[in-house]
Amino acid sequence: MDYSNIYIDGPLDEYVADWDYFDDALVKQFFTFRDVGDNVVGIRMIEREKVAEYGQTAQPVSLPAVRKNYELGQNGVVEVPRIPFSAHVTRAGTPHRTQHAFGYWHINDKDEIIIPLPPEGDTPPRIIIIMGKPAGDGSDRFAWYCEKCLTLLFMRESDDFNKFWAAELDAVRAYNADPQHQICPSCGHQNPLGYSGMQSSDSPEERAARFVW
Amino acid sequence: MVSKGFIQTDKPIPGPELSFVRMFNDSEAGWQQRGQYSIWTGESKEGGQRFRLLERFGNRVGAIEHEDGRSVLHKVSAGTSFTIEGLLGFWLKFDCDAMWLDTPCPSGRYSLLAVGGTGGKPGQAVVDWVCPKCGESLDPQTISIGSGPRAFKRFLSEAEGVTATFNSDADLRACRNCGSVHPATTITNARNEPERLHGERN
Repeated sequence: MDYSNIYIDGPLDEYVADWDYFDDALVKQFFTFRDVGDNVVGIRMIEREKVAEYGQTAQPVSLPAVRKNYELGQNGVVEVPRIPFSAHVTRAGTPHRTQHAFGYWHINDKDEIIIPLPPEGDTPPRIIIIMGKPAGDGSDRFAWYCEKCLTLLFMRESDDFNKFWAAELDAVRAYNADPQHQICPSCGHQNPLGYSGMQSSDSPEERAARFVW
Repeated sequence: MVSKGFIQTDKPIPGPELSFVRMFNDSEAGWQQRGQYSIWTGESKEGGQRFRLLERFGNRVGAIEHEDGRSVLHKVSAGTSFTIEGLLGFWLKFDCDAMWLDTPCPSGRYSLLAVGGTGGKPGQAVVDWVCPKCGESLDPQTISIGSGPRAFKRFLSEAEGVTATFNSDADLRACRNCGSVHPATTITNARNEPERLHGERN
């Protein structure tokens, strides 16, 4: 259908504000998570090949190119791919984690659409995360399972998404505070420390753990 | 004492479904309702029909795109009337937000529309047509989408039905404002069949 007779007269910005979340003036607001109505959106830049060294300047939340993504299901841990130009949907309730990006298993009540995009011009590869805005009884859980036998070691829950990062860091620090939390009660394995998705929060020990898992 | 709820003794304990992947170049999948979203993806080959998001601003229409073709990540707000050129033969308005991604790729462009994310939505849609001469709304039809794993496919079927009615009745397609007659349009479907030429009978 040809709508050329009724096209808008001026730039799109005059009709709708903030219409492209990739815009240079907006994109930084999405480097963590931003509530955009019914959904929450995150945009993660893959800014370097490996994990940043402790003290090295890096975006608070970013991804190294060298990483793997995992989900935990009935048959144990599964590596899930991140294929450019695809939408990976992590279903609600599925424990999932991204190696070197956040040092815990995240379990929430919303499906997450994860879209890897390759580099575009000067823009590095990106990961787009879209998920429903948690509301009502929805919660986020931060869990640690034994890396040898998958016994649940420790978990904290938050039901206020507005305090996601504070709750997440509290959970990490609570897990790390007691060495007994990291020792599996079933098999005795010593598990590594946890770490936040906000790498600027890392202690030296947590940054060391980020390199490990 | 912790209640474990009802556990069936003759079946395994149900577990959460693992992720699924929707490849952008999978043009056969059409709309996919699974979990909390209904997702559509499309590939616009270089030089071919382009999937392009249009939104209505009053009686005007704007394309959600950059002139230089760089990627766009956009929210189609609840209550905003929109269409996707090359896919939809009508304009749509949902009672929830939808997320639109349009990005260049080696073969042309990929597009994604994800509708949903909030409980019980989309629960209602308005299917309509816009006069291409003056931008007047022609025949808005409200459709209840309902719930369940096939609700969105049922909605698409119902939208096909109201489109067929619109196409079969020139009076419905006549603009009450300017008098021009909207041509018969696409019968859209969930399999992304190519858009028919304007005016072609179905």
